[in-house]
Amino acid sequence: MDNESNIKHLESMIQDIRRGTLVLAILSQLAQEHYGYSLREELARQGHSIKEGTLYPLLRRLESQGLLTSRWEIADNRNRRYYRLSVTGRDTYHRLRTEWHILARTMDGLLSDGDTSKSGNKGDSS
Amino acid sequence: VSLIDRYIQAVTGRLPKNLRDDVGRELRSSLEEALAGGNHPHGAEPSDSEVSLLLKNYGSPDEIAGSYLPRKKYLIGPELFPTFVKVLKICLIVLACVVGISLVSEIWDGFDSAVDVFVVLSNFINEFIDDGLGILGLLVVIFAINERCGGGKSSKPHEWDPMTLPKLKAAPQIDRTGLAIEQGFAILALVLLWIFPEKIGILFMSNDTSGFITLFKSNLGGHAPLLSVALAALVLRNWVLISKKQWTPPLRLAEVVILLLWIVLYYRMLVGESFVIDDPAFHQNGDLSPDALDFFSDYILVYAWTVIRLIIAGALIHDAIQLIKRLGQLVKKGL
Repeated sequence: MDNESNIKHLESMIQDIRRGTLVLAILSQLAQEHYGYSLREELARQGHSIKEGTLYPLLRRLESQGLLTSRWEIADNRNRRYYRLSVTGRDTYHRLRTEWHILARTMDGLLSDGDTSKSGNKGDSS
Repeated sequence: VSLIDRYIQAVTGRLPKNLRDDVGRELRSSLEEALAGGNHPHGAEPSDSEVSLLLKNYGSPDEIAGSYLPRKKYLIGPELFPTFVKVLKICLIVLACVVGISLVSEIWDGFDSAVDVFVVLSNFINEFIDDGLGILGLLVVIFAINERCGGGKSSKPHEWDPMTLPKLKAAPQIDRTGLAIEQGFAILALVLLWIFPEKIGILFMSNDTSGFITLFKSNLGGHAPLLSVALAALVLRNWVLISKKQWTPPLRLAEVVILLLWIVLYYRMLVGESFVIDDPAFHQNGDLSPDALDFFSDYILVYAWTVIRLIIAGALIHDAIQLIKRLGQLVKKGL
């Protein structure tokens, strides 16, 4: 496998990981009201960039699932759609957050085990 | 910014009608926010190249429209659908040409009687519908298989150029020519109904006999007065609409009343007695043979009433749907 295809596979895997965290990342920011652009900026500021073409349809989907509520408002001479967590959304977010912490701890354990065994192997061979 | 308008038109044009307004509004809002957040001075119009770059990064209309749609519900997804429509159109045009050529050759050979014209024409229509449905089915299967095999899903966002977006379609306006033509036909119908009712009929020609038979009973079996009122109302509405150049609240209300009038008329015609003549011998103008008159009595007039009732039923359904739409608009817009 050449280097270029390796990089492509790696990028695709990183995208998969990020995609899995999208919903949780969005829900985490919508305890307070945001319009699409401000939410995207806020996520980007914290290191989680999302393309507009992904964010807006996802917000609509979450709203149709009853996790978000939205309202239109004119602010700064612009029509903005503000989103925030619904009651169901808040409950779902808390459950997801708990799951995430459990998963993160498990993953940390697995990854540190992997690091330890790797260094252990190195020690054996030397 | 016209490029944004064109982009929104391109995206929403790929979406179902119930999503278009809302998605269009949200797209505009987010694009304007993104442009306002750019580096150009506050209040200054962004250049076309800035807008183009933004749209390029945002995603092609196919991608964006696709992301708003629940993919698995579609037999042929939004990426393949435009190609499907294009291929279908080409196939149908080719089919129409092939069937058309055979029709022309039939006409070239000539007809023995007027009935032959109907036979050849109905064969032509049958052939076109049969083959057209076959082609449609085959294409649906091919594109659906392609869709399932991943033909409609690109693994990475494809390069596209926002400058190639189609131009904006003009906002729908009053079709004055269409209204004037409709008005002309309504006036012609009124004239025929009241001045030359005997001129509404069937011209029959064959090698040995020819003649004209009036089709409807006098006074259209009692429907003429209501039909005249409906036609006059149509003429009046079109005249006002042409002069005002746009729909106004009173015109919308008048439209509802006119539709109701037509629905009542169609209903009365459907449930009432036949207003097609019973005996062609008393209504002929020409030299029709006894055989031809029998043929009229046994087939043409019987089928004429059936066909007329079918047309009336179709018109009734059409007007009922229009009425529901108009009422919906009235409720939504508050006149």
